[in-house]
Order: sequence, then C-alpha cells, then structure tokens
Amino acid sequence: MQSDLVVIVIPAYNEAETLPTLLPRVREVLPHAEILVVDDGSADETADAARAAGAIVASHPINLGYGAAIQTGYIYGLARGAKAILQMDADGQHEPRSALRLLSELEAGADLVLGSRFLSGARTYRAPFARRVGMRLFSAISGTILGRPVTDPTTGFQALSPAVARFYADGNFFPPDFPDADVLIRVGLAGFRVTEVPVDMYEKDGPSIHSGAKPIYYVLKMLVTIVLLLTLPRRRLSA
Amino acid sequence: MTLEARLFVALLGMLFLLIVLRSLRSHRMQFEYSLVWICLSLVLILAAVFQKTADRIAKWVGIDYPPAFFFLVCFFVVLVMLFQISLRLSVLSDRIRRLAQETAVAGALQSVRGEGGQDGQSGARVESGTTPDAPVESEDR
Repeated sequence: MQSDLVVIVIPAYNEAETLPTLLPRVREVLPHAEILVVDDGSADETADAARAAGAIVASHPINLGYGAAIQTGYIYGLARGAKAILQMDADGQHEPRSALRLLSELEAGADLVLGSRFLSGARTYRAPFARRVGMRLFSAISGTILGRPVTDPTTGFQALSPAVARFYADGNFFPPDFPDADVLIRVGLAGFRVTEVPVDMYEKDGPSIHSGAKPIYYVLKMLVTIVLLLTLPRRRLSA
Repeated sequence: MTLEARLFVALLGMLFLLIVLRSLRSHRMQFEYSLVWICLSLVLILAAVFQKTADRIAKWVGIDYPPAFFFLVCFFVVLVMLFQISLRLSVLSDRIRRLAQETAVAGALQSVRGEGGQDGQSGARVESGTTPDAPVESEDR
C-alpha cells in the first residue's frame, strides 16, 4: 500500500491541445503525485499528448461522459491504494497551485474538499448569467439540505479521501454525465465531512459541457434527483 | 366486426407470430424478449376468432365500442414493453460503462507496472468479472 500516494485524476475529452501546457504545471506543483488522464474516447490525440507529458493514461474505448471518466479515476486511485485523490479539469480552468490547499484541507481531516471559486480569497470568476443562476439555485438547495453553506456545488476541482472515492466508485447512483449538487448532497447526508476552500479558477474559452439545450436537462435532472434523494430512507444513504 | 375484418386481424396476428417465431429460431431474439410479442399476437388471433367473448369483456369493463377496447389493450401492452426496454437499456448502459471503465483501468495499471514505476511490483490487478458493486481491488490492500 502506498500510503503517501496522491493520484490526480484529469478527465479529458479532445484536450490534446491543452494537456501539454497543463500537465507540466501540475507536475511542478505536485512532483510526487501520480497523474492519471482519463481519455474519454477522444477523437484527437489526447492520450498521446498525455503520455508524452508523462501522465498515466486510462482510455475509455468509447465516450462515456464526464462523470464516468472521473469515476474511472476513483477506481484507479483505489486500486493504487492512494491516500488522496484529486480531480481537476483538463481545460486549464483550474489553477494547479490551488491543489495544495485542497490537499492540506483533506489532510486536516475532511473527507471531501470542494474547490470554491466564490469563497473570499478566490480569484474573481464570472460565469455566464444562466449558469450563475443555476449555481446560486443549487448552492441554496444543497446548503439548506446539508445545513451549512455550500458556495460552489458544481465545482469539478475536488480532493477526496479513499472512503469517499469508494463511496462514489461502488455506488450505482454516481451519474455518468454530470455529478454535481445531487452527488454532493448524497455524500453529505451519508455522513462524510464536506468542506470548501477557495481556489483560483479561470473562465473557459471553449464550449461548456453544459452548453446548448443541456442546461434545461441539467436543471430538471438535478431537481428530480434531489427530490428523489430526499425520499430515500437514511439507511440507504449511508456509506 | 365483419367477417372480413376478423379474418384480416387473425391473419395479421398469425403473420406477426410467424415473424416472432422465426426471429426466435434464428437466435436474433432471446426468448425472454419474445414472450410478450408471442402473447400479443395470440391476443390478436384469439380476439378475432372469439369475437363475442372479446365483445363481452369490453362491455364488462364499460367500453361500448369493442374495437376501442382492443386498441386500448394493445396500446397498454406496447407501453409496458417500451418501459421494459427503457429499464433494460439503463442496465445495459451501466454494464457497458463498467466494462469500459475496467478495461481502461486495467490498461492504465498495466502501463504503470510495465514502466516499473513507483509501485511496479505491488500494483493492483483487475479481477475479471468484477461487478459494479465490486470494483477493482488492490492486491496489496
């Protein structure tokens, strides 16, 4: 068992252009961590670019979705006996230096650390209006249910303990598309300690995974899932 | 219903039954999925042959126009079938996802071992046949 191993999970879909820039920056901040790029059935040279930059690559033979890609990362991290799993996006949106904050909070005893772009101390992040409304809505819902403020429930910049990674990897509830506020509420209700730290995040240039008609689907899905989640007996929520 | 209409419905039912049985014989369809289609075609045939009984059942459930009852039954069966297919599709999607994930993890672990990296010898293995509830386990855990 590698008790000190940190596995960094980077789900990537057609990110051959961004990875050569991102991976050295990540490596610079966490030189001893294992970087796993989960190539989610990319049509470009994502896997080769990741390998060339020194990352380990797990390639999905088909495109499965963002959620499935990070879940693959959790399975890998557990198999490697990692003491911490850190997930971040491949598009360069997440500042690698902020990873240290996430990991030290995890070290301090949290089970799941969310990197918030809205906590004081974080660089100003301006999302498009519709997205901002969605974020506020789910922030309010998850904060109310969990009984503590959650400023950024949709963040993809997170650090997980092996227990939470196992909870996600084993659970058939983990969505293959967008694991967001619903999963966060579930993990909170299951009794895991969830905290937030400020992180630096940059606005995306390319299309979001929530572009097109997806936001409507996403909001509907979140609302239905959260309502159904609240009807589940507590014993079925526990880890 | 006129005799011609009954004959037409019965023939339609028989033709459909024949198609289902042929698909079954050539293993293009599993028995599990064919059962409901066999039942549906039998209902078509029986409703045409025993029209009076079908009419009586329609009256009994309060539908004055027997063909409407007949269509309602068919519609309901098709609805149930579609629902079942949606359920099945969800299960299959989940299995395909797990399969792809485990293939990906196995490949990644193999590459780590191949490199003889930080943990070359003690790397984890992927059990063949691991299920969604039993993900990849590390040998050295």
